[in-house]
Amino acid sequence: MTTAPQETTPAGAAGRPRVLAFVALCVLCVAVGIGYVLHTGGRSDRALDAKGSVAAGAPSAGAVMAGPHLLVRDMATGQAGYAGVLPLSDPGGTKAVTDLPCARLYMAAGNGICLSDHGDILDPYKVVFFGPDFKERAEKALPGVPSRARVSADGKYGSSTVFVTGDSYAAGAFSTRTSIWDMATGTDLANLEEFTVWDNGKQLQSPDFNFWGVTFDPTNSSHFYATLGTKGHTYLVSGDLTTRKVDILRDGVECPSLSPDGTRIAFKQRTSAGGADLPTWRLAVLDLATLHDHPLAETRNVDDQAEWLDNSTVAYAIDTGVGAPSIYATAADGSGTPHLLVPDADSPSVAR
Amino acid sequence: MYSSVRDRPAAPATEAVSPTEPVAPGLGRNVGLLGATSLLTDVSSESVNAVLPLYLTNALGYSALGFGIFDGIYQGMSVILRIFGGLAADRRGRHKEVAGFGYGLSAACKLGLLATTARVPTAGVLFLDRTGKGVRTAPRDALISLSSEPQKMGLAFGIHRALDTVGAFIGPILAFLLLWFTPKAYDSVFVVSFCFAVLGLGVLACFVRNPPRERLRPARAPAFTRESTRRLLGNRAFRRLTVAGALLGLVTISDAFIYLVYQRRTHMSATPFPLLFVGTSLAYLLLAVPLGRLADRIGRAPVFLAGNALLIVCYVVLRMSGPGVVPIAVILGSLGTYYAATDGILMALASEAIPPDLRSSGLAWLTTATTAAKALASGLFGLCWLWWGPNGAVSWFLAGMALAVPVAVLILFHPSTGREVPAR
Repeated sequence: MTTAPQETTPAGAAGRPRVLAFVALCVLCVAVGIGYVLHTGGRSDRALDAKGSVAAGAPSAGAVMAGPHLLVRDMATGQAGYAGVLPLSDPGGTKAVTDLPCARLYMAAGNGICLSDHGDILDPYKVVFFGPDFKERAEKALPGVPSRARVSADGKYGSSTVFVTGDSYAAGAFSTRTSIWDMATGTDLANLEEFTVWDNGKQLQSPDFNFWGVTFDPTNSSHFYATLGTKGHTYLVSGDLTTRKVDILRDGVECPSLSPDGTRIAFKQRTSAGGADLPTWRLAVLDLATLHDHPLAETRNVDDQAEWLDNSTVAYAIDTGVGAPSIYATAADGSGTPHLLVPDADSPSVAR
Repeated sequence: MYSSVRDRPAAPATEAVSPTEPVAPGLGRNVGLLGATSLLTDVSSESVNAVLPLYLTNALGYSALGFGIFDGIYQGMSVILRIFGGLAADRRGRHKEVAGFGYGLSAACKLGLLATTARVPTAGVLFLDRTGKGVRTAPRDALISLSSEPQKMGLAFGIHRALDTVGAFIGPILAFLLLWFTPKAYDSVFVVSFCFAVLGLGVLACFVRNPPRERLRPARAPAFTRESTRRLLGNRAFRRLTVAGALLGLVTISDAFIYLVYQRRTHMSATPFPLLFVGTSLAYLLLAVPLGRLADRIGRAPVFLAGNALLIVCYVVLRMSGPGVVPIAVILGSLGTYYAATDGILMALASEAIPPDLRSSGLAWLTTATTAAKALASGLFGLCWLWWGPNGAVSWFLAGMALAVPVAVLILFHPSTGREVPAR
């Protein structure tokens, strides 16, 4: 778009072509503007239709799920916001998109949990339990904006974190609700705020306890880790569903994710660069034996609960607000450089 | 960010047209067309400006210090560039082409924002965008002045600035609506902003006409010659104004940081964030004329100082703010009133103090000094935020402003000032 060639003729003589050119420009700009806004609107759950459209020639979800695969939320235009699956051997390929809309989802051992904001207008948030056929088995109301979801490796327990007030961990004040679910029936087993909190054998109590980002122990699914936020600290806690207590392990760990071998935790760590109150996060991995951590090679802001592809690689979504979010992967030992795993998707979970 | 800082005619080229010379027929409509260009361009630039603080800190992960440095340079650039921007156009008589280049550069930068989400390149694109603004302002103002009858020049600029302000008002509302439609989709704001920028450029390219060559004479002397600088610095009233203005600027929290602190203290989401800009503009628009009249009646220096004192109220409420209508109404109201009471009025104060032949270079000096001080203040605020958090940073600037206002009173009302600063 450069300036039109200069003419010194009076306005009348050259007027008509210029008016036409300008009208054409107006039409073009309006079309581009509206077109792009609708295109990004496809990324919004608000703008979704009742059903996702599946691209012609896309593989069926069932065929992909016969082998090792990734379950994601597809964020590509036209089908944004629906569960989709990809073979682990070709994560950059065409997604098999289902007709299940989710804001956040996870699946393990054929048991899926989907946090949705597609309920009715007055009560939009719900948790949907689904099987490998992506058909709903049960649903329950949620008290706020979906944030994190996990299922234990044996498919027995699920967890959900939602924002009751606020809608982001970066906001100055927020309040979360984290629940544990029976995946088979959709029964609400626990609200983590009902658990007792222990620090070195002493019980703590505070009205400001917030829990978020549960990850289940692959070797013992009633054992879990999560983040406890209180008084400006973000503690890694180790909890047990049977004793209904959690123990504080250390500070500065958010959205933990256990490795498949259960020895390490990938988490998001507040960076000091922004100061205490302009939070950005960097991915790090913590060794549970020593409670020491090291940063990963990803230097961009990561606000996600990571997912382990295998014992040496973690995957996570990056959303800058320009274009759709995408899933990247990087080495768990901090070496190498991150690479794009699944374009236009977030909320990854892996079935090996 | 308000009219004088945003778009004051650096030095209306009144000298270019002799008072008796009529304006060539057909040129009069340039004023309305340039107003339309500015309206569309301001919708474009202000919609992006209203999402920048959150986009850079939240989505791209700028640190407080990084944002402070960015904000300082970003605000300072267009003013400093403007001083030099007019020269090229004046020399070659190609106002429309130079302005068009500026508008085009800014439009292209909107696409640049889509092309990169890395921190440093994004800042580079935004600085280039500002360069475009710096380049286009002076030739556009020259076009306005060359296209209007000398006796109607005030009206011409008035019409232009009014249209410009309307655009600045629509921009943040548009950004809010886009984010409401698709939360966090900053790219839709950038694309729509690009479309408005192209339309603004389209109006200029298709309809605005250059004045005939013979009408063009050197419009003005460069702002900073050795002679004018020496005489200005010898003018005690001007010196005092510059020192007071720069001192106050140095303890002023930039709008972007005020909004960011408020966003941190409450749990405001990204979507309504652009509306904060609208609130301040509204207060400014409502009060600029009444406060200007008040200043004419009771004296400009008291109104200017009272405006700065109002920032103390703003910072106190910001420091204690929580969710609710009252704190945000007070913050935005006092901020907008501060602009209404200080922005044009400082320029009026300076105009009284400076002899007519030094006026344009004097105003350029003063604007540069206060803008440089505010730019430095942004970086400082980022540093304070890093060390003491947002609350601590506000406290330090609050203390600074509480100290600077009485010092500024002493400077402007010093007995030895005599009648040089017309405090009346």
